[in-house]
Amino acid sequence: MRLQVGLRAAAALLLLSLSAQGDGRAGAWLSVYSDDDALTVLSPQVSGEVELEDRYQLEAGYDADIISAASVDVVSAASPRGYEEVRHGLRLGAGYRPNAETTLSARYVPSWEPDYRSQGFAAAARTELWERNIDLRIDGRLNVDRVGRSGEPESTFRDLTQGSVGLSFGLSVDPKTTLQVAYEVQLLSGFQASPYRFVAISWSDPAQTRVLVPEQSPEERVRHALAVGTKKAIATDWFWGVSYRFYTDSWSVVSHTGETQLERAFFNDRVVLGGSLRGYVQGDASFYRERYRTAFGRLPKYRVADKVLSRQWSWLAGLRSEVELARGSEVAVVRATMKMEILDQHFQNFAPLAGRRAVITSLGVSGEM
Amino acid sequence: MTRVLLGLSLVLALLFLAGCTPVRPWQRNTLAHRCMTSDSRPEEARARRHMLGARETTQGATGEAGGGCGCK
Repeated sequence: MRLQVGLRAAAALLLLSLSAQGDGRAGAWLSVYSDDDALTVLSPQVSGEVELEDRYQLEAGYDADIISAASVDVVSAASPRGYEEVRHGLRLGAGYRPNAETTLSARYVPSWEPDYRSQGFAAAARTELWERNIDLRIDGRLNVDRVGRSGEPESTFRDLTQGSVGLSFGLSVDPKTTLQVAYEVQLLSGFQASPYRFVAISWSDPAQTRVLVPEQSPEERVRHALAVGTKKAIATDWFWGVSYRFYTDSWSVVSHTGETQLERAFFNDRVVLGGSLRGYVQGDASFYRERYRTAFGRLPKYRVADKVLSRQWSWLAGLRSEVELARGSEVAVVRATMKMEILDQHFQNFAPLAGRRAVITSLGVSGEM
Repeated sequence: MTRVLLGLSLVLALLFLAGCTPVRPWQRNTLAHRCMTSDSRPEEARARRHMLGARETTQGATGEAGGGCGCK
């Protein structure tokens, strides 16, 4: 019922964006993720936005994840032969421009799947200064989530609340260079483990007893992320970007992310070809152990079997092509995009899986009015 | 460490600012190119953030977040 109401609202706004007397944009995107750990995820997405009277903005969107996991999960009693699941998400937003340089916006972002329900709220304020050479933005987000096991009653679900505040600063350095700096702090409170995962604990008794216990992680987490980046037109029709992000949190996870991309426009911007490369390295959480060993009868307060909390590194490389399909008076520009990426992850202290490689294929089409 | 990096970023930004003259409107043609702007491909950016957010514990300073995903 909720999905039908949300889809109707999103469809109505999409149609409005296509027919409104004003600027607007609509787009559709489909990503297919497939890795060698037998996980496939189809992620379709549609969205539209329209600006009315040069002052009001409306946006709507729908996205989904259609998940098929056929790998054997040795620690999960719920799905020894894998699972299939669908997640739905909506995005409804509105914006107001009191003047040409300032935009205020708010969004409602709910999503749901059989074992995870999320109610997301976001608000942002953006202004341009110094003859529009400086772009300042502050945004806040609040997610009120419920986490449980698929098929079990809502009353067994547990709460997770996530709040964040972000600041970003953009600068036009010169006619061909931009600089961006962004900082975000996020607070999480509530259930953050997996309701499906069990952790093996080895006891130091003569029988070397091994028990399986539910995963348990701290209920509080504070995250900090700081990113800097620059984009530059390095030659006629050549564009280069590079960025770095530093992350740390109260679970002692520290990560570094570096990324670069290069694009070239052809035929008067009708075709854009590009490539990107991203590197990621992360330390493990303070309470993460590849193998938990304790004295007989004792359990560690925090114990997890989550590979994303282990020590790891990865690279992500991709090629992208964008082609202008049409240019007219009503629909100003229609473009189609095709993208192929390879994600190669290496888990340095996660015994069940040393690494995985995924191919992500994406297709998209967008129109601007 | 976080405060040091934040302070360093602010200093770098101010140094850039101190050495800059504003880019005039008639000089902004290249800056307005969609390869130079960060919000010209929203569906693509959203899909990428979502995919990486489900596979890495690191989040933040990239854009919006929200919603769960059982695809780890």
